Amino acid sequence: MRPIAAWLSICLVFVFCARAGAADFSFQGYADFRLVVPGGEVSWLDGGLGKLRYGGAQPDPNFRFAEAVGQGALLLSDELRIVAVARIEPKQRTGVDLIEAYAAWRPQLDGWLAALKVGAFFPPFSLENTDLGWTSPYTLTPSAINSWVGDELRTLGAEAHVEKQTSVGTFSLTAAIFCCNDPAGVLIADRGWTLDDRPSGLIENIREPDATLILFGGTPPERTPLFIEIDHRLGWYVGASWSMAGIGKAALYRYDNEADPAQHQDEYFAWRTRFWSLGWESHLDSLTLLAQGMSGDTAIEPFAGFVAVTKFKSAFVLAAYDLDDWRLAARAEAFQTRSTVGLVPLEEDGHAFTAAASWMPKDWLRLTGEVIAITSRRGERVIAGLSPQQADTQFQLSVRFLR
Amino acid sequence: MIRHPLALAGVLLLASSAVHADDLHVVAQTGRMFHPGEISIRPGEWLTISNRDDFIHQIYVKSDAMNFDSDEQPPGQNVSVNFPAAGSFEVRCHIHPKMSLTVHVR
Repeated sequence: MRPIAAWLSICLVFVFCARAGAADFSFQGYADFRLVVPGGEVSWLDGGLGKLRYGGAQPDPNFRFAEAVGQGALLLSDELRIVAVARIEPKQRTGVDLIEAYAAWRPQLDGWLAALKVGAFFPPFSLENTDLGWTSPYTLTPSAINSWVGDELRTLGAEAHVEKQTSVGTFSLTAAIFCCNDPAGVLIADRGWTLDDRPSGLIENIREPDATLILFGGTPPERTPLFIEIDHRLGWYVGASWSMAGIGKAALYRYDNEADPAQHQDEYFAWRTRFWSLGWESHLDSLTLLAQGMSGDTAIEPFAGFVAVTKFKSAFVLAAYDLDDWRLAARAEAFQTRSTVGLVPLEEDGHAFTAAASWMPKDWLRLTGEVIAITSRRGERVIAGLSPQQADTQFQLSVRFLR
Repeated sequence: MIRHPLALAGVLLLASSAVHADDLHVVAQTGRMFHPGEISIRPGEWLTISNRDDFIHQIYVKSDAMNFDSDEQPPGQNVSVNFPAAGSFEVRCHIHPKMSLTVHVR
């Protein structure tokens, strides 16, 4: 992690530790162990173009420690708290990485809900990944949209949120400014969409596909930082939502990291990334329905006058049904990327189906079985000696101990 | 009908005070659980449920005697529910189905 982001997180953790003995402190977390039957294609996390978290580089099948995530919250007053979320995960090069670290101020206002967050945290675009550590209460693996948000996006800055209940529903507005996320877009362009439940840590650098490096004359393996400031320009997002009990919630966001695509630091570019995100959520008795669509583009200007733009879009629908201690969920989604300058190997089309069954016999225990079937076409696979068209299936049985 | 603005203000003030008095019953949502998990109140009293987690919750009551379904509760948000009739009611969360609060109204 580069200076600004590093200092921000370190300061928050320092304050967190310094005050831990003097204020209310709470801890939540989980440890997750899995039986995995991985997909056949090498996962993108191992330098391949596989779309799933586990792939051909893992033995088949295998039992593994997936991750342990802990969230500490320090309540400085009724209105102010400091939160840090850390993770231990086998692929991290550091033993522990930070996922989020922020201060949240929620003043008590009559008739209004207001909140200000400062630090490093996930943007609020997901109606799916609403639980601790970017996890979903419905499936193990989030949609392609929210996998990508977890992989590449983090708000390193400040976010303000106001909310007002009225007789015709609850209206909210959210606005944020942030820095230090200029490479966001490199993965959606070079790797494409994926389905994985491993959000990037704030400290780590992420593996780039070997095929992309070869395509552009590089030498694999190579990693890229995601949370660095390159052009010294602030990004922003704004959003609005409406919700009404018994009907649902709609949320619309616009994101633009305002990166200067001509700027770079060493071999790492500032990717100008912007998108629209629209989501819908309904809870109807035991049935939950979620839908989200995202459309945007990301661009770099590797030399003057040549701007390489990758357009991306995806959408999913998810249904979940609760039955006593069980929750059944199914999701269907489609995704696409297109190059505007004829970089056909980086274009892709795909779709995926996910089914999950969770059993929660105790407050501290959740067992989830999940299967993902994904089919995608990406020309870049030819470089790796594969057919552009690949179909993959991943099965996971997770035992999650919650605290 | 209340015709005078001061009289109307007085009525509103009394109503506001009554709500505050009834808001003494507070249940916190922390760690995907209600704390306490069981509470007794009197008919007509209000129960305030406060999200003290750092992620969203929601509450609903579904029974023959009453139904209630809240919006999502962002962190820090309180939801107040009135229980007009005697009985035992289960308060749950659509998002976290293991969360359960029993409210005895008697």
